[in-house]
Amino acid sequence: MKKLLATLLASTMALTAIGGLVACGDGGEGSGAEAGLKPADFSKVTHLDDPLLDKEDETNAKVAACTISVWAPAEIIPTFEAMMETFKSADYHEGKYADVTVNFEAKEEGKVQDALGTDASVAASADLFFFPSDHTGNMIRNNWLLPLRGATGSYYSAAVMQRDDKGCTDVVNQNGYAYAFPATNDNGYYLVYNKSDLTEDEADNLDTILAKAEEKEKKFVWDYGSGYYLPTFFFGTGVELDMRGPKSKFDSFNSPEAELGAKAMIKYINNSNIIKSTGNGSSVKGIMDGEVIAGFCGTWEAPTEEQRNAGVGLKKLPMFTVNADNSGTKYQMGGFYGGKYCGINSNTKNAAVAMAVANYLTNSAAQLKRFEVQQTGPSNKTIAAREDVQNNPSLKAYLAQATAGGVAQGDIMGSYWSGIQTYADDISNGKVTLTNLGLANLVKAMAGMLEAE
Amino acid sequence: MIGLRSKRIASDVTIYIILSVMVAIWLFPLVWLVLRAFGTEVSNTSALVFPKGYTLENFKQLFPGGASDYAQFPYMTWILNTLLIALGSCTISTLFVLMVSYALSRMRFKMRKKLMNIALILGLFPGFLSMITLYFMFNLFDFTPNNRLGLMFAYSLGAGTGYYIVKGFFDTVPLAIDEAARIDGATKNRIFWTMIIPLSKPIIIYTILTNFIGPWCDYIMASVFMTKTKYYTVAVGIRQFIDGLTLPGTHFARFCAGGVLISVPIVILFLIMQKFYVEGITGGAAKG
Amino acid sequence: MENSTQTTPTWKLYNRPWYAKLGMGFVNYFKNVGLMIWGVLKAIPVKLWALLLAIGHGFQGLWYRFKKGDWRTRMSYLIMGFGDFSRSPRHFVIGFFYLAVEALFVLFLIFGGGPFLLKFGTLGTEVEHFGFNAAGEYVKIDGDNSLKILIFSIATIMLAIFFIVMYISNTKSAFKAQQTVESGKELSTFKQQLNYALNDGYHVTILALPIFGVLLMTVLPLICNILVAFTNYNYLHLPPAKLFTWTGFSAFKTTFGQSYGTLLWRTLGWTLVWAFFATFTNFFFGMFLAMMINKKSIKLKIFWRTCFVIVIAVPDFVTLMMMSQFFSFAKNTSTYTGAFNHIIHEWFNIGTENDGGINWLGGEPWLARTMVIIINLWRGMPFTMLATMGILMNIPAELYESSRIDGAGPVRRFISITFPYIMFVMGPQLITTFTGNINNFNVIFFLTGGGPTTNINGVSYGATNLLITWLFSLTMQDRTSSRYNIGSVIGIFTFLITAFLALIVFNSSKSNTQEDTFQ
Repeated sequence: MKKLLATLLASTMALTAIGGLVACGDGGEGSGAEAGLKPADFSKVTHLDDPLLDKEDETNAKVAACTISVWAPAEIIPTFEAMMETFKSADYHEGKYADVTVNFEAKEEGKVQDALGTDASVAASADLFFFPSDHTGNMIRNNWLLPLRGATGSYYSAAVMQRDDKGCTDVVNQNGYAYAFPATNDNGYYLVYNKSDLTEDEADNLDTILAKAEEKEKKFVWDYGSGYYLPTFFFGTGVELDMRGPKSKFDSFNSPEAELGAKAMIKYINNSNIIKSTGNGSSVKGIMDGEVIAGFCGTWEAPTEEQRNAGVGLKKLPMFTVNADNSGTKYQMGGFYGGKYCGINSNTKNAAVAMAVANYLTNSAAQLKRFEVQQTGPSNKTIAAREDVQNNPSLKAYLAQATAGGVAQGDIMGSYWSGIQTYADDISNGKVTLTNLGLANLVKAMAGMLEAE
Repeated sequence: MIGLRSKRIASDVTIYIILSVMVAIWLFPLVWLVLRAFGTEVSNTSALVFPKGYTLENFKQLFPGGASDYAQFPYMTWILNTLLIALGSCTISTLFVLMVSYALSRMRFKMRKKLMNIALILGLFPGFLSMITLYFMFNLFDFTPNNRLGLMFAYSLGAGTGYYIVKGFFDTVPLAIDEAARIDGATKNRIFWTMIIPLSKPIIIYTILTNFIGPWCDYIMASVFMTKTKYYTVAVGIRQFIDGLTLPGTHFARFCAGGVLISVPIVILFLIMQKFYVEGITGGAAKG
Repeated sequence: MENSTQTTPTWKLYNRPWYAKLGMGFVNYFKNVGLMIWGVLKAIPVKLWALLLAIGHGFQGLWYRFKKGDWRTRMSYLIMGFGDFSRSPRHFVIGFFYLAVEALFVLFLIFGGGPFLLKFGTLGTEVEHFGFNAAGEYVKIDGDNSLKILIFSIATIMLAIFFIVMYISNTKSAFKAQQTVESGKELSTFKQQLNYALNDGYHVTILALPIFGVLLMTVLPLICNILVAFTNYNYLHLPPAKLFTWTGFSAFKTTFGQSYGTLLWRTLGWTLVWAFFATFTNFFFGMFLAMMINKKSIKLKIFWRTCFVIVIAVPDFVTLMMMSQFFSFAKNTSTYTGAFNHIIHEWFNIGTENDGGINWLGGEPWLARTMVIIINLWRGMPFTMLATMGILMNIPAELYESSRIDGAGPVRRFISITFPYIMFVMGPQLITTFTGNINNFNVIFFLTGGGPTTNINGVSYGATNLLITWLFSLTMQDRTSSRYNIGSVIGIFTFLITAFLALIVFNSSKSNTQEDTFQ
């Protein structure tokens, strides 16, 4: 309880400060209807999960019947549906939302932006959708997200800024207003290894792992067919990916650091003990089947308790070397980390209700529930501080990796993914070699040929 | 004589061997598909041609209540969608094709040659180049997204350009029939509906079947027009089984079962249709 | 072009050596194709001139009728149908039809198409943005939608053309009614008009709906798509959030410029190579297969045929998706690699226990390309087999009889009778198949998705991409990095190639040029 209070106090103070700053910067725009709700008022917000309780003109009068459609990942839908029962019950705002129908449909977070690209209307998509942090830029650029501001929205903005991790809110923070509700903070990967083949220390060195793999005739799983895992060596040698900057920031992929990273990629892609897996859960499954010694593992495919007891270890990613003879500097393998967000479709007809639903699906109670059901990592500071969350092996490894070599995943352009993927293909096919690194082409491909048009 | 005969037997045996080998190669993937559908292994990576065990589980999962994630893969809904769309679009397409064919075969008018030229060029224009444009055009009338009626119209309204084979058939129906009817005072309208159409049964069956099978087999248009699972057609839906959502090939057996289930009626239709198909390709040209 | 005589079967010439005849057949065939291309090229300016003349005549007639017309006729230049409905109750229906057309068009212009047409020059100026509404809520405020402006403007222009045609027809109708009355004859009754619609004018009645459908579904999107090539419609200008606008030929410059240009020519090269092999492997293998099954002494003909036909009877999305799974590959592992690699390892011991086998569809470009052609042969050959079997049955038996009397062997019979006959029937079909293969989307899309990819000058190049699948990946695969303008340029390019080939087929098709001779 003490901890909670301390967090509250600290964040309230921080927010007041931010609010003050933003109020100055945003002066020109926020005139008119929003004048009485300057971001400075954020300090008033005290009820983390029911921001509307602070709104003076807010009543619990029943809202008119309406339907809110939600795109969410398939596996969480049953939990959400159960939560909606409470949302509509008399216990919540005196039954204010009793007549609201919430329809869930399964949609992978990563596929949302593609669908919106064709048609972002509610009929074609949904009022609310869950999406990953790296699509934020695109979402905002194309006006797909309804910013949380105005008479109702700014209260939710304030609540989000206060209750969720700053790293998570920063990604969707524009001028002090949030563009979406942070829902999770666990979108990343780490190492899983076979405890009977490797000690914890051995698992800290990729070359050692590969030598052991050779010895035991097992494989190391690294999905070098996906741009999500591919930059691990680039990040390791110090290539920076500035998500917010203009396209020229990809220039960092043609630098001395990038050369080292590319050389490491060539070294390891051509290593016959490394395999490219496809599909979820292949590392853990491989370890269980005795074919894999260690490998990358995403937080969403974390080993179960049973599997951990059977000898699957979790750890941050190992160190690697650039030279073929495994000599020289040791670098830490890097990796993306980020979270999932719940956004309001800017075309929605029922923005206020949609916000209430989104808030209910991402507030502290919801994040706790998701952690209990699926061991999802919370973005909510209070929930993240809980002991059982801190002790969760998967989240522990995730945080360890994020601290050791994490790159926050914000706005990444579509061309980045195909660019780096093609680069890996070229290494596989022998088109990119130690003498012909082709990094200039890589940068061009990542930037997506913008200069041509 | 004996030499000649043994030579013929030798050549026949050679042909039988070649044919058997070819049939084996040609049918092997299909047999594999069917065996996977009935097999107990769910992945696509099994080396076994014959499954370790046989089960109907994969088929059961295609029906409501057969699988826990049925809501994510509502196969029967997909079939129903496809059936509705195919029936509707087949009716419109067939009517349009018959009407155009009759006009171009039986009537002589100023624009006739030009229309035929234009139709031929347009017919070769691959439809999906303009799919996004079409999507937004339909959007103005609320026919997209997720509207079965819209997809039905998208398949069928432009069908008039596909008159070629039917016109070729109408050309072979003797003009004397028309003339006799004209003398009896029948209008061209009457001749078309009561004389030409009944005489053209085989080609009409062919047209109906091709226009029915078309929407069953289309993937691209349906994947653009339908954004929600319960509105998918079977081609779009079945791809979800192998779309890398889960462990490699976890749903592969279900994909096979779904593929088999959808293929059986189409194969039967096609076998009925094949002789019309041959006539369609060779008929007009050979007779000309 | 009446060149069809040159493709007449040459079976009477079987006393020449077979290779000479085979060569001659090919030479003649391609000579004819060349002549046809020349014919088409020559015809284009002539046709254009004729079109201009026709339009000129139309307006000339308009003026002529106005000069000669009485006041009723002249009134219909302002109020359509006036010359009809004011002259006699018999022409009420037709007159009011014209009036309705005019009224509807004007209404549409004011409330529908007009506002869009006004913005056609800029494709919109109001950008969608967020702002406060009366209730103090922060909401999206719609701006112009460039794509809708484009579509609606084109639709309006097409309707305007239709309106002009109706307008001219209205003056004609009014003038004709005037002349009829002046010459002292009776005006036609409504019943007579209806009878005309079901008899001499039946083609208009029966073609109206299908042509409307084609205009709506094919012509309108086609025109819009061509125009997109002159804009900057790409992922940075994605409506409704952003506007796109006219940029002249810059998309063409990009497409044919250095980076995309290299890809374009490479892709075109592979597209043609693919179309050639896909067409001719299917044609020759299918033909020989048909001849084997068709041999008199072979039993169970229906069985053999059905075995092959089943392959094409299964919907292609099922077979092709299945094939992509069957040949799938995972490097360095046996657990995740596809069934075919397991089978060849187990049966023929190709590949080691753990290397995953061979990357059939995503490794070496030449292997992927070969595989695509082979799988296409698997899928497409039965079509040719079916068609050829039909043709073989149509070959007159007396041809074989007379050649047998002259002592021709089976090879000679094939060269001088069977093959020319098949070519005679299937020749035009071959070009149609060729153009079909240029646009054969499904095979490439489902099997390789265009891959394996490599980076050329900073653009991802798929080794098995056809123009059409490349276009797809540029526009619809990943919509957040889509480039509709470049896609449109490629679309136009593809369309020109296929349309050109189509014209040749049409002119060479015998049933078209001689259709009237046998009725």
